[in-house]
Amino acid sequence: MAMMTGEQYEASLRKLNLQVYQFGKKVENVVDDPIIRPSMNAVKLTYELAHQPEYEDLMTATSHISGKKINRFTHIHQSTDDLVKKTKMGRLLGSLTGCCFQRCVGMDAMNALSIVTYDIDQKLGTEYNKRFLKYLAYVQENDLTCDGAMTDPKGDRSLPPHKQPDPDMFLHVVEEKEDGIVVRGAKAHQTGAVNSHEIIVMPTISMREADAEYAVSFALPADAEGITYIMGRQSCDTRKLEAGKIDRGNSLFGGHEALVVFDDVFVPWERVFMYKEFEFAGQLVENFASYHRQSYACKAGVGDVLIGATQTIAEYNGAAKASHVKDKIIEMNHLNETLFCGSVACACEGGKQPSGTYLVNTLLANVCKQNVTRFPYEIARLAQDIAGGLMVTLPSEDDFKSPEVGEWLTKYYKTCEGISTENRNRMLRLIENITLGTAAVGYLTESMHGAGSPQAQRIMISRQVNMAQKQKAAKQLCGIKEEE
Amino acid sequence: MVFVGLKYCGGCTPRYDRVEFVSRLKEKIAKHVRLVSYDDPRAEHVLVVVGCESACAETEPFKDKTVHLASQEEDLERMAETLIMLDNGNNT
Repeated sequence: MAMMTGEQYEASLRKLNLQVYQFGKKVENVVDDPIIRPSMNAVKLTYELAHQPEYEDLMTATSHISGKKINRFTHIHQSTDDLVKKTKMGRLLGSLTGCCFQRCVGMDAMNALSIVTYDIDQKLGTEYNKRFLKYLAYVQENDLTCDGAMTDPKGDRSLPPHKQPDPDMFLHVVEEKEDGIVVRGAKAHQTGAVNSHEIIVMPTISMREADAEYAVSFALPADAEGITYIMGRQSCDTRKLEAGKIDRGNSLFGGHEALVVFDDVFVPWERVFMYKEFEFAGQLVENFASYHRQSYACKAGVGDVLIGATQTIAEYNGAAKASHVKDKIIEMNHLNETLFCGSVACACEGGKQPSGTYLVNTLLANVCKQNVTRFPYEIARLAQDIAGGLMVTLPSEDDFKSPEVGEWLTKYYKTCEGISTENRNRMLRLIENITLGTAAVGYLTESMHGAGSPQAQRIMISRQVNMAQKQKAAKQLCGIKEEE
Repeated sequence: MVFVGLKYCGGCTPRYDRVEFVSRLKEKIAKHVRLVSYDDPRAEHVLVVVGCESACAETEPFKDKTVHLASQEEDLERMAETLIMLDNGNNT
């Protein structure tokens, strides 16, 4: 099986024995859980589109291992063209789901590991890359969804891992055995974790020798013994439990995050890709972060949805011809395309690493993500400006259906001739969903903190710009000689 | 009747509805051309439908075939004529 269909993907998830908790209870049927299900639908779409001729050019690639056609989410980038297509795939999926489709994080983890395992081997004579490539072949052949797990809870942010009062605040090795290692800790904010077949763990920060037992990377089946998932809440999440679908906003798709706990979990050696090589932890973090910062092209896709919704609600409200509304929508588009520009640019300017994998231009990837921490908020603000206050004061779908008050609502919320009040409600709920409901988790706060908070990018930008070159250029133009 | 392979770009930000374009094209060429999968060995020509001028669809596999590129709605009539000509050419 080189590529699963959507149905095969869903069936494969049903075979997993995940330990998932939500609202204090164990979730017995994860796939059909009404709160989790929309997020599964979004991942499922990544499988379905790979089989559709009008999307397959972005959704598939040719494996550099097997030569087979594979889902691009399992691909290791072999050119800048691959990197650009990854960016475009993200935008496409964002625009078709209106949410986080969760599968990019595993792709980014695998690409980063393809580089770093090779580099470790070159320096230390280990065999991590060989192990990793064997694992990658397994992922590609079975078309698996992988969670890329980097973010530790981190405890006291002022302390390195080995000085934390609770040593489990960063995931670490607690036992070394003949056939593998035992790890303990947790990974927070894990997007798409319970829709994944595999979980790929990486360290979360650069480390020194004293933190060696925390410098560990490995992959495990998502239902390995000792792994537990605790679902994060999302604003308005329980609307998914209601009978009607209008108040959900996005009636088809969604995202999810979970805290993943590793309670003394055994990892066989063949799935360990870094073990105490602390000096490579920082490189793995930076490479993964750069890939993942590129991945935020998806927000331009979600932005497409929000801009489309905003234009539509302006038309429904009879306000679309107002000059300030037109100008605000131009601004939304300007910001949205700027997000796309950053992701395309870092892909085009990427380069080949010693392993053969292509890595994005890391400076431009950080610039891209820095914009992502800001622009979706402004786009959302403009959307709310144009949508009007009704977006947050609109009565429920049940009230519109009420025999007692429904007629009043339909009468008083009528706008232009020929505009359906229900359609107007649907569009308002979609804008609400993206800007402050369940999808705002992905579109706003994830844009802020996902793949690293804003300051992380600013540090990387300051490190990577060639300031001396800029100073030299300035000095030359105003007649200052270097020796002065 | 000639067989022409059909290949789309991935459609990240198409400027027009590529699938609708092909649907309308199929109607116009129905008597002369059958659009088939791009890897169909019967197809010596490939129609590549792209959503914008970047035309990023992978065409390397078609280097031994004749590629016809459509990148905008306005290409519909021209493309229909071109593809029908292939059939007429076969008949003469």
